[in-house]
Amino acid sequence: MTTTAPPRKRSDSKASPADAREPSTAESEFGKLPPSPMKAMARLGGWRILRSMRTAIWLLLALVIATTIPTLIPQRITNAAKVAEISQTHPGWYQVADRLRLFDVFNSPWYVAIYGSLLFVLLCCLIPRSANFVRNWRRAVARPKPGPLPALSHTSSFQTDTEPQLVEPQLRKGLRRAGFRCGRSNENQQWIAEKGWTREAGSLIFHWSFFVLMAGLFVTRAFGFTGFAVIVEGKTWVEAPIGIDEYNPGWYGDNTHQGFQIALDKFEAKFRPEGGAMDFVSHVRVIDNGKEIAKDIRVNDPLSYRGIKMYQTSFGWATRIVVADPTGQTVFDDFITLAPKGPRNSWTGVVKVPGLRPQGALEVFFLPTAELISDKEARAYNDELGPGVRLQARPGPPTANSPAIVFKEYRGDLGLDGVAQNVSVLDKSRLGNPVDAGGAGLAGRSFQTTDGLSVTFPELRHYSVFQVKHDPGLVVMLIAASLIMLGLVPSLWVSRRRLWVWVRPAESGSGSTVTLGGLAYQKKDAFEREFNTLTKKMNRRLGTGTEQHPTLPEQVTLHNK
Amino acid sequence: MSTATINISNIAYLIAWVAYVATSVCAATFAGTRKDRWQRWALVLAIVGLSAHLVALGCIVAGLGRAPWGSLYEFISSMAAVLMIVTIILVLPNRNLAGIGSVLAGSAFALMGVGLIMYARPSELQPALQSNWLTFHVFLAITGSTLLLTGGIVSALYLHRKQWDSARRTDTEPTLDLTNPTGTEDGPARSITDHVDHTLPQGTTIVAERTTVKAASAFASMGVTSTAEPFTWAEVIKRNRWLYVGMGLVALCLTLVTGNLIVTLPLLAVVAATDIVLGRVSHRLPTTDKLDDLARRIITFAFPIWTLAIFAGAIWGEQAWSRYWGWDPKETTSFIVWGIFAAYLHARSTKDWKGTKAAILASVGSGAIIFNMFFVNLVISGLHSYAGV
Ligand code: HEM
Repeated sequence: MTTTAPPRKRSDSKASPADAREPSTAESEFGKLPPSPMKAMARLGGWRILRSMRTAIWLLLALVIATTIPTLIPQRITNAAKVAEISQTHPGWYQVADRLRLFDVFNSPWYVAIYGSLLFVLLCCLIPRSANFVRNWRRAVARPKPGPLPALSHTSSFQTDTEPQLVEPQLRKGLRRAGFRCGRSNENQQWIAEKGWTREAGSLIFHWSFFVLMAGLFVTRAFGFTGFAVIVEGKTWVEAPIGIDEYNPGWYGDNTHQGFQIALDKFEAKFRPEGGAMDFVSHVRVIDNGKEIAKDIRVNDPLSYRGIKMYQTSFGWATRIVVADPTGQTVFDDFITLAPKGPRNSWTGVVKVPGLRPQGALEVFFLPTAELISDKEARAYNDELGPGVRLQARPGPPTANSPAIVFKEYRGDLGLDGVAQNVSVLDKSRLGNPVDAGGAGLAGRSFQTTDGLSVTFPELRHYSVFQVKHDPGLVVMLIAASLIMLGLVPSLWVSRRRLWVWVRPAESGSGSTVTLGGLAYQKKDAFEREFNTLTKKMNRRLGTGTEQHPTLPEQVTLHNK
Repeated sequence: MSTATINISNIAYLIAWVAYVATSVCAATFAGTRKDRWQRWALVLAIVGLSAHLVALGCIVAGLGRAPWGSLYEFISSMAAVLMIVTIILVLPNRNLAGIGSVLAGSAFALMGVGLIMYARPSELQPALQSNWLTFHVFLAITGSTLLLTGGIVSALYLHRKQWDSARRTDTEPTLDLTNPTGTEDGPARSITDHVDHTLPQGTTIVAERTTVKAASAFASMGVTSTAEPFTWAEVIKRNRWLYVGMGLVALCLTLVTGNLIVTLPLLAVVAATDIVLGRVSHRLPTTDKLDDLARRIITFAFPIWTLAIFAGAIWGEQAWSRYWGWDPKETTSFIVWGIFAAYLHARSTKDWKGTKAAILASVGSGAIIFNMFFVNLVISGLHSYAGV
């Protein structure tokens, strides 16, 4: 038999103005739909602007436009040198731009204002939307008003020999198995089934997650710290504020140190024959309350221990320098870290010997690949780089093939009293001119200065530089990112769809007629296939039925928007 | 990597390049003639090209044991491959959409042309670039950005068709030939019936006179104007004059950036020619509805991929550079792209933003992707730039 042609659609006086805006005519007939977000927003009178999607779009675009500025103007956080250069070359423009915080966009009040407003508007959208979602969830699927089939994009109908009372539970079970939530039926045995609630749920999770993201940022700012650790091979470093160079703690960051130790056993840098870097590894041991853990820190593989992370950043040379006074007593014996200097693969460092009278200091130049000439000849040289050494400016990997140090000796006042000093910077103001300059090879050869000091350079090691970081907000950020993905995927890829089901006794007397109507809010093409398969499945489920070709009702609505 | 492998890879790349331009020509011919064999040829050539393309990429993978995006050349090559995969899956097999395969395959061709200019012999990577998260990140970034780019191109075509339609509508009102509802070969109602086939539920045939009239009036409001006279070449060229001014400006900028007029001029000539041809055949492009829907499908699919790409990049940054986000130029532009497409998604469900405004957003978004690829990689140096290119 054919579908009874449903009478003309009743005019729905109860539809709110918001409903009337929706393009789909089916909705009002269908009982109350969980309101779509758009509708939910439109319903709110006074706060309309705050909650309107238009505001959200404009704010998003404002954020985007503001973010283009840093791609055109260098920023302090990424390119401080360039900003400094501009301040020199264009002081006038620099002043104006700096007032507008154009070199520091991401921390500027106006940038914060834009994303702050966006978040505020988002909150205003989310609260009613979430409340709606929860309310509709509790209310479960609506019960349709008794009446004829509403205008839907798809309809089908079939007959079975089973009585209506038995058909209904079967249908419900089948639809539930297909993932639909079924509502109660009205007195005409009509009911509604829904699928795709994860779309709205996902959208809500997605939007709320931005507040989790903000919370993560806050936690980082409040409880984290950053800095660098410089460790010489064979030495041990203690995780505490004093051990950290360029220490930058959060508001409460000082209280989050752990005090464990790191022993750097060995550092290895591997290079390709052509000179390109291949791999940097620091073999370390974590020493914590007698416990030891071995770990290799690599460029992409940081150490993570008790919330503190150490990243391989760079490396360099450390030389052991032994200084003995004229009586032969050792006054200095330690490793000094050397910083790369100059284009010709040379490194510098400082030895301070406060124990000497007058105090002494050596400005050390280290040359990993050098050709040493005699002390006598050496004294004849006195250029800035390293007296007494002829450089072999050999290109290629910075390995130490024939390492040598040369130094300048200073005597006088180191200026150590009172003020804390950087160990690797020499305050020459009260030291005067160098009294001597000389060279010393590796192999423990000692060099006698003119005033009787003996300087030996017995050993060369690597030091490794690690970025040290404590970032408790990271976990929060990771959770936020996961939630964003978890919400985003269903909110974009799932479609909401509804079925309208009507089971009634067959006109022929025995058995029943089942009519299905369907409507998808998204992915209409895919729904067509789904609807046809569902019809077939339900028909098969109910046994002996004869399926009718899905018929097109008279008042077909073209959902083409 | 042996020289032989590199040679195979390069030759396969060139084969793909030529096959794509042939695909483009066939698809355009199909759009013009509506003869099925051109659609088939386009599809076959695209598949041949893609196979060669995959060989080209596969050689790099096999030869170096790493993913094929170690240089801008390889990156562009991978993007073009993704673009062609979308074209082959979504566009070419569909009669209603196959015509725009000419634009998409043409874009792949143009991209690969730029790739040739940027050619760098495939080699090993430095330590900071050896990471699983990085591989995952770049894979997603290539897939996501290419898909978003494709969505943007389709949106641009939407704007194109819409603009020509409205230009036409002021000239000639659309007329519909209802006496021949099923259409004959090349008959005027052909594209209307195409449309009917896809809009109504399967198995539906329009028999009753009444329904046809109803459907026809629905189509008239959708702007199906198949019987309208196409613009003549002269009209198209005249109507495009603002395009030439814009192209001139783009050419100037590109020349300033690359310092190479020889590179930019042919590219611009290709784009201008494409636009003129498109203007001439605009009545053969898919309807605005189809284009809008295709763009939406591609972008909603791509947006989560792009989002995940950004997150994977952050995780890699956290491991390699000890920070997950540092507003490096590439990160900044990625965020911009993300924001534009988020605005697009919102626009799509806002009454007075859907349609034209949303399509403009998507087109601007794809412009941002191109900017991200070329300008940021080549001009602004940052952690992400391809050194030595
Ligand atoms: C932090 C900035 C925001 C981002 C990145 C963002 C992103 C997104 C994305 C990607 C979607 C697509 C998911 C979907 O279609 O279901 C979406 C949907 C939506 N957004 Fe936002 N959004 C933001 C802010 C807002 C604000 C401020 C509002 C309040 C007006 C809002 C309201 C909505 C609504 C109602 C939808 C659902 C649209 C629909 O289902 O058709 N969003 N948002």
